[in-house]
Amino acid sequence: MEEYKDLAEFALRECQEKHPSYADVRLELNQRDTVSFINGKMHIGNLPIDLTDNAFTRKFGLNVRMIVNGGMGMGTTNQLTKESIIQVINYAYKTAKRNGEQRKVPIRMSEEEIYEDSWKSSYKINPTDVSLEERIEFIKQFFPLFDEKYPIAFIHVFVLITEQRDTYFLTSEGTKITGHVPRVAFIPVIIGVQSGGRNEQMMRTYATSSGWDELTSWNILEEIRNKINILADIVTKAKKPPEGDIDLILGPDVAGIISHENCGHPHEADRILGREGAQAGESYLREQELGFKIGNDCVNVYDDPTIPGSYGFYLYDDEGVKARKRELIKGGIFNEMLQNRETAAFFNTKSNAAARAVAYDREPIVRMANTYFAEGDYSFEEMVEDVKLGIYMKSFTEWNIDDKRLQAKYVGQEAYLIENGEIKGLVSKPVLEISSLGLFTSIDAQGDGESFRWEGAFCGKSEPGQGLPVWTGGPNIRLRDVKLGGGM
Amino acid sequence: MDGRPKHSTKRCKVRGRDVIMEKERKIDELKDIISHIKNQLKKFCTEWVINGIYTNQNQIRFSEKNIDIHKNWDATRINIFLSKKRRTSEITIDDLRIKSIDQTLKYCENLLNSSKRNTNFKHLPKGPFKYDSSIQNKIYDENVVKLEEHAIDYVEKSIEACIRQGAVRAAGSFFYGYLHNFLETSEGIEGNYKRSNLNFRIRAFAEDMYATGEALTVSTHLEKDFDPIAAATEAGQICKQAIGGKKGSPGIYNIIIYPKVSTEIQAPTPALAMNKYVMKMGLSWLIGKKKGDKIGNAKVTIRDDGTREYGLATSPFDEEGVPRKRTILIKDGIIQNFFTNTSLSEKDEESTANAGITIPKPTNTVFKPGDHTLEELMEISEGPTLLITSTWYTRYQSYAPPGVFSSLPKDGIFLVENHGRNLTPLRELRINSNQYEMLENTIALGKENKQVSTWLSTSNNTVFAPYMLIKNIKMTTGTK
Repeated sequence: MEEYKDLAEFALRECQEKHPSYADVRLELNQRDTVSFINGKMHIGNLPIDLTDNAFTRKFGLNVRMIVNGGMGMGTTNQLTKESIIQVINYAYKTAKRNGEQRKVPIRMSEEEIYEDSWKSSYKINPTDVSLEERIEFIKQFFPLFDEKYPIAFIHVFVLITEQRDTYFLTSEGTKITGHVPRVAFIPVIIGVQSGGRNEQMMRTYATSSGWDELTSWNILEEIRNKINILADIVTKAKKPPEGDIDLILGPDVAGIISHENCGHPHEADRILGREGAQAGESYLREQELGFKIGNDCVNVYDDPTIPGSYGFYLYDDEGVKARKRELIKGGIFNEMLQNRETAAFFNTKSNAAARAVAYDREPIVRMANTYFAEGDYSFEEMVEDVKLGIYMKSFTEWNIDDKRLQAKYVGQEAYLIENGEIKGLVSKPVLEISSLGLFTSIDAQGDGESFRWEGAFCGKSEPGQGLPVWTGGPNIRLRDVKLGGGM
Repeated sequence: MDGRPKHSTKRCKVRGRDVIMEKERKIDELKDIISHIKNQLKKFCTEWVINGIYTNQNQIRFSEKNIDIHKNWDATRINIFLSKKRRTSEITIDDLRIKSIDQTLKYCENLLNSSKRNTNFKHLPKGPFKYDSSIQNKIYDENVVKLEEHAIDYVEKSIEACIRQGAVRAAGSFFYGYLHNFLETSEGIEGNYKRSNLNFRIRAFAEDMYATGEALTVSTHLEKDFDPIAAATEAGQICKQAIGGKKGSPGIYNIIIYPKVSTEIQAPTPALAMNKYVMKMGLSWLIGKKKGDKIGNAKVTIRDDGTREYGLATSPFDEEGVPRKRTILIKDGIIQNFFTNTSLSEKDEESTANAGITIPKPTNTVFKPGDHTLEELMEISEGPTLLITSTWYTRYQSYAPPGVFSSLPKDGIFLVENHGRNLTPLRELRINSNQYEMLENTIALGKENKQVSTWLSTSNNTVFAPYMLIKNIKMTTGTK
């Protein structure tokens, strides 16, 4: 990487000779290894279905963006010669200029502070330095769990992704940022199958930017042992959930996905402006102003890239803007969007450092980092005690949401009946099918820090796709008077 | 095509010559890298495959009637399969520094030494093979190479066409480009081909936030089955017709789906679940099913076709060099084959030419058309019927049988009344079904296939599908 920084600086000088209103250059190295075991058999390479792609890659290349005449052009190459770079710049310039002729509103970048800095995540053991043998042994520790006697059979997939991202980012305004972040994610997928048909599928993502030592310090083995037992119980014992209006307590995993899907995505300014209209979609907040009442006063949802060790960790975004916490919903109010420099210029505001790209060959666009419901002050017992009829949906399986992020569905996985303030037996696949506004205005309590937990995830957006590492999180949250079952 | 944007032939020739010279220089560099890697692999591998790709791709993204960005990717990529006494690995390299390549190969050597024998890998196919030379002309159009920034003309004309239909905004993307693919294996196989690609998608918006329409056009050739203005017109028409939609009622409906909907809800079985590797690992909802078992209505016949003209997934050979084939997967509702590669083929079977060497990959999934027009499908449907033009965000509860999922219609959705003479726009309905139901309940098909390849589709491949009528599907809606 170091010996190629001169080439990135050469690229910026070449851009500047064309006098664009803005130019940036990102030199980026990505390394990713994925080791998987399917039903105990080692698998090296991409996995079927949608579990991984680019399983084992080495990527190194350069990205150039230019604004000319109010239009934007982007070029990328992995042939790191001056000849190739000049060709890419010439093409980016030409296409940007042509785009500018078509646009009615010129593209601008918001005014931001200029930094020369470097950043990295804090870790002791870089996951990419861990030997294959050690990674294999880490996964193998889970296999004996399936030797125990269960009333159902299991299909199991364990995926371990170790990766590293190094960036060198320059702008025509003088910003110069070097970034370094290794990451590791461990993803168990377990399907419990009962002879004759009933089944249940569980997936978790344990992920961090704090190194191999952090991942291995977590007591994942016991958690998976517990999950396997629960899966067997769900398949063999879960009863039909109640119908009609009930109260619903959502566990931290469900709160986390809701913070991401129903709040984080619709708060992305590029969606609100329509830029993702044909891709990830727009937003139910498109026609609303900041200050719009989204939910009850107790609802606070934030996003923060600066959380040490988080999977979505960074200190400068991919436009060189210094990262900070974003308060998306504050006291139930639409408080802040996620902005990059292009969207911030449109709204006459500052970027809050939400520009992210997954590799050199991708455009930095507005993304989340670590999105979460803030802690409230309810203990779990306090939440449960005044529920007459309800469900505690601790985890979820199938989910989806429309492209305006308004109509969502979450199907419970580990879910319990609550009757007269007491947790009872397991219920099978309760379905919450609800609008975002209906959901946020039904929340009357957020749990305290004791129930708070994070989950790793890969957030999908953009075309071509960019699966970005994020955390989602929250405490337990309670919804009052919701109807289960998708209106049927 | 009337209304097709014109650009100067003279300018095109000059530009084209520069582009072609630059392309040839990069291809020469790619061949040098392949040669270097081959020499390295020979030192420690018993079997290997090198697949070198030079590609130049473009995307014009637009929204709110404005072009947001023009992206260009100029890339050289090497995919390598390595085996040492049946210990195997696969890697993608696009860090082209020789020092880095050598380090990566050294790492792969250590990795092979540390890993266990891959019992799913038997051997690579022995060459040489003879490839169908006619396929090349079916998948490569030099005019796409010369298109360059003039592709913007298509975008401008299409936005105009969309607005003319009554949309107030349009968004979309136009992907175009080409690749050169070079394959060499330790078993004496060598081959190469080039393929161009065009994928235009446009979404129309009205003032009513729920009124949207989307359409696409996909091909390898500018003059063959590629018509962005027709797609834009269709998107605009759906959008306009969707204005004023009311929240739909939950219930059981017959659904008539547009061809691109099939990539989300119909194609996952032939393109994902009928993968031999996925079956073997127990990750398919067809687990327990075998050849001869009934999986769909007698109207349903589907093949995997790696030779289809103008198909985005067509090529002369697969990733281990076996000549592409047409493989019937389902005939008259009965399972005929699962798609596979050399190693996963049964003793009495040949590869269906669907390598991926570790995991087989689908090519073009082709539905056998029926004999109905869209109007006839609406005419023959008995009972409450929905016309669904688009869907997304298909998610599964489990990959185990029967593949329970839900999927969200996102653009125009219409209640078909009076056998199609009235279409009433609806919104906020969700498909709740499973993969068995999808094929068993398909009772009639349209008479024309359309090539579709959509962004983030769950089948993740190219599909040739007609309109389809599927009976008795549960639709739900939000409760608050």
